[in-house]
Amino acid sequence: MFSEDLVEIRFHGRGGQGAVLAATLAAEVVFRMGYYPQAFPFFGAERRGAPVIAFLRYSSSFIMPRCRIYEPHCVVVFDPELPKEALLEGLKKEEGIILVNAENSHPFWSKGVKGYRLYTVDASRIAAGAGLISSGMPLVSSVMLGALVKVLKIAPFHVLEDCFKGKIPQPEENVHVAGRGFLEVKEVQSSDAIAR
Amino acid sequence: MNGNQAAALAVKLSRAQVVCAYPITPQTSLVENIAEMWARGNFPGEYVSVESEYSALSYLIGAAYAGARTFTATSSQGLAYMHELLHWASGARLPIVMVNVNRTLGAPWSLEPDQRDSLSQRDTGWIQLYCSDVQEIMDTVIVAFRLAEEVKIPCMVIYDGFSLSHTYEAVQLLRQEQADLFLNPPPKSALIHPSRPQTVQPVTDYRYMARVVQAGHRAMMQVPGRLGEIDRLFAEIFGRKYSLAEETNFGNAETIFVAAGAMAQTVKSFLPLLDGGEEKNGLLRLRLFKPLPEEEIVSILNKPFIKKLVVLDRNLSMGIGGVFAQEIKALLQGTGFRGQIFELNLAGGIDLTLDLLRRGMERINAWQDGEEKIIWGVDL
Repeated sequence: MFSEDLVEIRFHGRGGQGAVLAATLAAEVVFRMGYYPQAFPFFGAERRGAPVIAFLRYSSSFIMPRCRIYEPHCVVVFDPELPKEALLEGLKKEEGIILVNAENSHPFWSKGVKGYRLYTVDASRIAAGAGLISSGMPLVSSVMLGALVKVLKIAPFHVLEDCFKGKIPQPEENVHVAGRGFLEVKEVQSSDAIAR
Repeated sequence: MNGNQAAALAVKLSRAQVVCAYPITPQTSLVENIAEMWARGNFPGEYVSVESEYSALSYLIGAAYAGARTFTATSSQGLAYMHELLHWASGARLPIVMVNVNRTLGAPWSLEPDQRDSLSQRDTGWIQLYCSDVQEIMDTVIVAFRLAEEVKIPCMVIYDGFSLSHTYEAVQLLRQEQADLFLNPPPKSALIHPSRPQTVQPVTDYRYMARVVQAGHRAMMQVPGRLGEIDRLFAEIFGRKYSLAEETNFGNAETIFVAAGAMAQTVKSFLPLLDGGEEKNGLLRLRLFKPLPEEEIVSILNKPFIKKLVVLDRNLSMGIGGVFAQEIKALLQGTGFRGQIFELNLAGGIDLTLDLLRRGMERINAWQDGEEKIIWGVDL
């Protein structure tokens, strides 16, 4: 998928959306695929709704750097209204991938982002439709994980399914919405998309 | 699993008999894990909730006097709040094991992994071991119980907030039968017992006190040797080898970085990137900090081809500089070491990146006589 062996992914969400959980479950997915994973969050003030960042690295060898990720290969955006500069900061130019929870007609994301491969999935609608809501906030992490596994081609879907068992409440609903994320994620063409 | 989960599991496998702690970010999930195991009946000892860190350590001092294997965990302000009892535990020679997850001390309020919390307890008479990855956290907790009980000195196991406490990575689990083989049964030497009423630690004069502190010092000086033996036993049983001070030197490195904790592994991974694989840079990772293993460190650093030491301190003793740097300077005094000693100071919890290290090295390489030898990460 990427030219380097060490892949770095940054997750941007809001407290309560499950970005940290998604990063740790993604670590388990890549671990089951034979990679060394490293996943960690960084919180500011811990409160619902505040921006939260989580990180995932994976590589075919043991991962030693323990700094945060400043030049990711991929950013996963749980809330399409988070400040765009912070989301795209440092994203690798040539092969950078953006995966966003956004509807097809979103005023910003529907236009594509110059120089990057952009994928969207309407995760809030899918999660809410399956009743995965907490305090009025759709729990989008499983949908986003399903979409991420598809976009990065890191594992067959059943590996994700196995990771859910015993790790999260409502595993059936979560497997279902992850499957919809896997199937419904779409690539958004930018008018001057790079050749690939 | 992450660092806090690894520590919690190691405490269980060590068959700790009394755990008493108060939650504080970023240590919280460690005590939550132990409390949950205990509530589900999966923890061999007692878990006791109290209203503060001060009470947590007080409770364990009582339990340790009664001969129990004891554990607590804290961070930052919580460790500072325990301060006077840290002295009591070491003065009474109680082998309490504690995890401290490094976090900045306020004010202002912050969560970054600054090391000032543990380093400001340097002189409390506790052993300090700094961990660099999640596997090492799990391994070090069980090592700490054996070490503390052998030398009768309390021991702190220390690791960075978030960059280790909350970092999930693959670890090899210790098995209970291996842990039982490695650890002795809990010490039975109860100092207090209801059947033998007595006063412990009565008022003394300077003569007795002088003997107590001298004995504490002499016991502390035994730690490097004893830890070396315990490390050998650990390697035999578990297959992983640790050293008192870890050297990475590919040949005749001219510059040696000195670092502890998660930062040490970060620097290690940057070494080939810094000099394009020319092997001009090496690393000394501090694992046993209190007491510093003098012989090992001097033999790693005091080599004629080493021109520069760059000590990475994510801490600061205001008015003098980084604590690790001061300790290394004191250790090298009189050894004939001729290199320059620089400090790259990351106090406040600055994240060490390759870019930051490169800019720091540019400043150090351009350094001229008379300029400050502390390179401030915040200015790079």
